Amino acid sequence: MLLHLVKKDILIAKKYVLVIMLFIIAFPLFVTVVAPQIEGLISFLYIVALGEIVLLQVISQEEAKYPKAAALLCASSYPRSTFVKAKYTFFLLLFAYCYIAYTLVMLVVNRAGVLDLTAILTVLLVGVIIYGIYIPVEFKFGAVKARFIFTIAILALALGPMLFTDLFANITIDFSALATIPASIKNIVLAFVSIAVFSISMMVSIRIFSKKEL
Amino acid sequence: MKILISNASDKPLYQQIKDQVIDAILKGELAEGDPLPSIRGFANDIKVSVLTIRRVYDELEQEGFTTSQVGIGTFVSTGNVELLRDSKRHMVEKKMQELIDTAKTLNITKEELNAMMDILYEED
Amino acid sequence: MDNILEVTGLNKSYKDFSLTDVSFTLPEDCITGFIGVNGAGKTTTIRVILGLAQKASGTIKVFGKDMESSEQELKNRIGIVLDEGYFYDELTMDEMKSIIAPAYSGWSDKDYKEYMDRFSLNSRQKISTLSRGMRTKFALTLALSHGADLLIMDEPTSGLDPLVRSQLLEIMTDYMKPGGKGVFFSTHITSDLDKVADMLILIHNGKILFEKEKDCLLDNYRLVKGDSKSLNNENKKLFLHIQTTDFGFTGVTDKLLEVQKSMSDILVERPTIEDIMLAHVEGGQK
Repeated sequence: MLLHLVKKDILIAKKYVLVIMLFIIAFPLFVTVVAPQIEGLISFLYIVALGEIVLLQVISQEEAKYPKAAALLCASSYPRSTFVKAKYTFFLLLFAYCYIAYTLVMLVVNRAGVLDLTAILTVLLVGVIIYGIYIPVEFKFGAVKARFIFTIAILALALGPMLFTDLFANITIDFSALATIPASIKNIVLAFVSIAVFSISMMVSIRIFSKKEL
Repeated sequence: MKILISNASDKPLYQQIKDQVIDAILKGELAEGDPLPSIRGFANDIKVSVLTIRRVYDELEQEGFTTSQVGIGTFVSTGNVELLRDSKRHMVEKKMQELIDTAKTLNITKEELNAMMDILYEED
Repeated sequence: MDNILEVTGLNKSYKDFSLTDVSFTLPEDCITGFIGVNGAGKTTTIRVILGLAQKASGTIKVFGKDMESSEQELKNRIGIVLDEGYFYDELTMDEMKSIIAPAYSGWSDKDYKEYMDRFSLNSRQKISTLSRGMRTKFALTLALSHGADLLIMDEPTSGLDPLVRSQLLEIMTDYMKPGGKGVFFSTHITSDLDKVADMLILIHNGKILFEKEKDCLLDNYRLVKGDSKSLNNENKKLFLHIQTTDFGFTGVTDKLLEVQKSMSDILVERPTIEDIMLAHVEGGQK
């Protein structure tokens, strides 16, 4: 049931999904060639954040075009909670795709660019935080308002690496300050917080959606 | 079996149907042991609601004209029909109904009717 | 005979409209017409039954089980046909089917294909290119392809031409044949009900005005036409509703004998369901 609802999200935005999937492969290549200074964590973070948010918005937009379709699905024996869980599952699947695509590209192009677990978990956490705030907001206030807030965020993200290299350089320094903490502890903390935020966000979304009028 | 429903008649639909089924049974068009049509099929064919046919079948069974077996169907009862055919009561009722209908259209009240019947009854 | 659907004391409030104490029962093997004018509360009631809107109070039982506690199990047995705009238009019918079908354990691809054939629908066609009638047929296909025991339909025949409407009604009666099924459909086109309905439930301003067997309604009410001068304060009360013109009056009553006693020279006819519905709706507004 869950996977079918995930499939539904992909189906209704087929073309966009395809484009983004290709972009996720193309971008790391582009970075390696044009802007190697943001290779690694930043590059991976970018494709994850962009992929997740843009696809989420596009799918929500399609969904909002046909609100009654969601009603029909919820009137069928799909539980409302599964409807919500499908969105979160989509996040995880897309993340996995980003990681696989990125790693494969890096293996081909520049083996040094392959990420370690800490980097992966860090990006995961950032993604979970962004997504974990966005989804409940969208369920509560609707796609239009949620999108308004986050379009601004996307713009900042798009311009970020290009304009604020200094800022990012500072962030790199921050990370190296944390380098003294053993990787295993960092990993556990990152994983734990990710799971916590993810779960809380999902429970909140399920709560909101269960009361929503369709 | 012929069942014709009149939209112009004052009689309730189920009554019209029931009377015509009883007619068919008494005249032998529906023989003893013959199956009655399925409730839904019957309802569809004569364009009335299943609930109406169900009521007809229930009353027919109560009055002894039919018996029903769960899962199999409703059948004209055997043995009873002779008794019922001879039952003049039904025919009398029919005649009385005709009498009452005619009286009403002539604006003859129930009291007048009863009075007339008292007189006529005594004349035997 | 079991009850397929039991609704008790439904209450739901919106800013401009409320459902008040809505209660009714659908017996097994019956086609029930849910009638009312536009805005009377038909769609709202159906949405509440299907869980699309939250009720303030009341219970809903399907097949004898409470909807709240056995929601998934019950919805699995319900086929739904809702008014317009219930699909993702950019998808093909097959794609839409691939999303809906897994929700139902009793899904039958064989039935699906048979209905698509019967309706002459090409499953690879995009939903946005379908006419209204074809969309309804597709919705019906989906509703009928998973062994549902109860069909709930909201205005399925509106916007359809008479041929398609008649096909739909025929399918409804076919659906009932095996027994143990129920159909609940809302409509404001009362001529469809004349043909297939067993029970009628009238809703107006969020309240149920009656819940009766169709044949009983047609047996008990009469359309009476006569001279307006025959009307007086006493016999006016015998009518549910009266319309007067310069040429006479037309009234709907269930007290024919009394009417006949109080006035002469009248024409008596059997009413249509529409006459009865309008009389209840307009009569109630006095």
